[in-house]
Amino acid sequence: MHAPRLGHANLGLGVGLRTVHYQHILEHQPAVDWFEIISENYMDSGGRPRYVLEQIAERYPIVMHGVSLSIGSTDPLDHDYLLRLKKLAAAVKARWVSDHLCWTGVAGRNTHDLLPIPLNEETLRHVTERIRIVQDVLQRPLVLENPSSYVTFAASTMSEWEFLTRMAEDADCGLLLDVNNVYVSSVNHDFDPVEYVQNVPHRRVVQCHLAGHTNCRTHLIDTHDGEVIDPVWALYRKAHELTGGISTLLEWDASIPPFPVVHAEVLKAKQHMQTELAPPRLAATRSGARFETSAVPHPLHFVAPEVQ
Amino acid sequence: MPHNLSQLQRWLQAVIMHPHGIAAGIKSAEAREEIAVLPGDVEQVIGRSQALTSIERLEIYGNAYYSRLLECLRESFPVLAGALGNELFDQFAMAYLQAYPSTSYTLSQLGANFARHLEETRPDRDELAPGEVSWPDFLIDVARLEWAIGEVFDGPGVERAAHSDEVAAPAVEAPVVVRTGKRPESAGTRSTPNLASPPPSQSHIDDRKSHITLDPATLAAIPPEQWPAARLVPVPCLRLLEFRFPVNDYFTEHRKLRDAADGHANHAPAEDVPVGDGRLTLPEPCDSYLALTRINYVVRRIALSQPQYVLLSALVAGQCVGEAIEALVRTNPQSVDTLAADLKAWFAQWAAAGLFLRVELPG
Repeated sequence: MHAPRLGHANLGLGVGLRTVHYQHILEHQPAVDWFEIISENYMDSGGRPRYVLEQIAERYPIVMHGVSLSIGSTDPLDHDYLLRLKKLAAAVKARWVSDHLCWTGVAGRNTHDLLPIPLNEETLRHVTERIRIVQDVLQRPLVLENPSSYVTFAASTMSEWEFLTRMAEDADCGLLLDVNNVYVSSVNHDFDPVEYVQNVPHRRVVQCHLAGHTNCRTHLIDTHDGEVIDPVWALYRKAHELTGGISTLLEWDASIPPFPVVHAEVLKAKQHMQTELAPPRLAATRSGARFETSAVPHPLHFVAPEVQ
Repeated sequence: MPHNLSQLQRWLQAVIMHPHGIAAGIKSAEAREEIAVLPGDVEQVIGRSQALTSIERLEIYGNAYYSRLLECLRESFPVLAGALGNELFDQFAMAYLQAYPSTSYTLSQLGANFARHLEETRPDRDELAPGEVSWPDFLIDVARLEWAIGEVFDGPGVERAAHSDEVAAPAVEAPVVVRTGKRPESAGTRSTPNLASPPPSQSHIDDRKSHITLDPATLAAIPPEQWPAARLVPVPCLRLLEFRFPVNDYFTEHRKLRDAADGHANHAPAEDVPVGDGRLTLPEPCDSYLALTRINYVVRRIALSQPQYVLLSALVAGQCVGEAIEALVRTNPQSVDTLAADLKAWFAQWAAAGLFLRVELPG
């Protein structure tokens, strides 16, 4: 039996570090418990992003969250990328390194999307073996996040939570439980999100993600552009109860409001830690929810240059 | 027969990256090479949900692929997108994404070949006389300028050494990935960036710069007899650019319009704002030259004359000052008369702008 969170500390309530908030963070040193960075935005940076990160890393715990590991791809692993990742992790004293259970491209291409995998024995063997290789290079357990997804494969033979459970046990890795993604995928794929949260291996869950999404009536899109809705908070309460408490982070990547608004949103988690558990509502909407048809999942993480 | 993981991935990628939509992607040769299924039978591969068909679900990924990358290119080339208007810019960008799909783990490299692509696909490619300039050159020049600005912004610079007590030129010149992995153990020292301090003021920036870049006074103190053999080592963030259109002026004009639009947007509806609507007019062709550098993590643009560009290019190429001046006189014999006075002013100006790390003198 593993220690809770694979032995990692519960860092508390954190916020995803975004460039529009650099100035506020440097000037005001907000009382945020920790920051999560998008690894690829910093691993090659010789400019301001890296400089700001190093200042922030002096004061706050940093967790690295990647979008290009492509652990599920049938292309070879990119060892140059892994070494850069490892160097950055050492430089900012990253508490852990995470990415997604997905693939981003094949045949040498990168779609820059988090594409879903067929959930079957072949994929499980493939992903597990690659996690082991990555962990050998990074010399630390990898933490993988359940992605939001919009298609399912006829070739799938198991549920996502079953896949995650077997993968985490076989590869001895950690999990990042994104309860918004669980909810988004549960609506898109007609499954029960509570059953999902109940069945992931709780002691391997190192971290939790919260985010807003967009309701397109027939499906949900993971847009990270708004407040966390009540059914997602309900899943969070469940995850909090089952894990005994985990590092919790809010992602806000589009239509990003001022930092205090983002921070206040994640601080709402405190109330949910103390709230009596209520069953999540399966309805995909909330009061005042926006309905859109042109939403784009997984918003950009692009750093615009500053020039005079 | 079930499809293996590699087949599924190659098929899905071909389907969602097809520029004409999911059905066209499913019918494409690239997809059918992996899985020969027709759009009507795609449920054999991709399941449907209670609310959406398999095709509709695939369209979410297909739409997202181009939307995401077009947005990234618009952010990488905001002036070009403003000059063309988003609709026309997106047409160029769509063609680019098909010609040069991303192969990098980082979106910051997505636009690396955009200027090259514009050159390769220019409609007058086979009709131009040598040296002839036409409107595609303007688009290419703007793309080159914006890409160079992005590279200078996040590439290696001198700020880290300027912020450290342990200034060492080789550390500045080292590739960024090496340097960042070997951060000086200066935590807790007075030179360590401190969150309590606001971002440095301009005067503070210049004070820091003088610690690491070549000081104008140092340059002025070099004995005249040593000048010809002196070598000026450029800062790693210095980029020299030659254009066929006055794109630096155009960039400045765009920034003014954007700033005005930002102010305008705070007071009135934005429909009259010209930026981003492709309404900026094409300037007349005119050779122009520019130096880009970076001070305190902000990119600076320094307009150059043609002789300045020739001289600086020779110095950056590693030539000593005497060789660089000879190169200048060869290409600009008319400059000899005013050269002595010009050189003194130029070197002082460039040193003040922080373009050189140090001077290497013979012996």
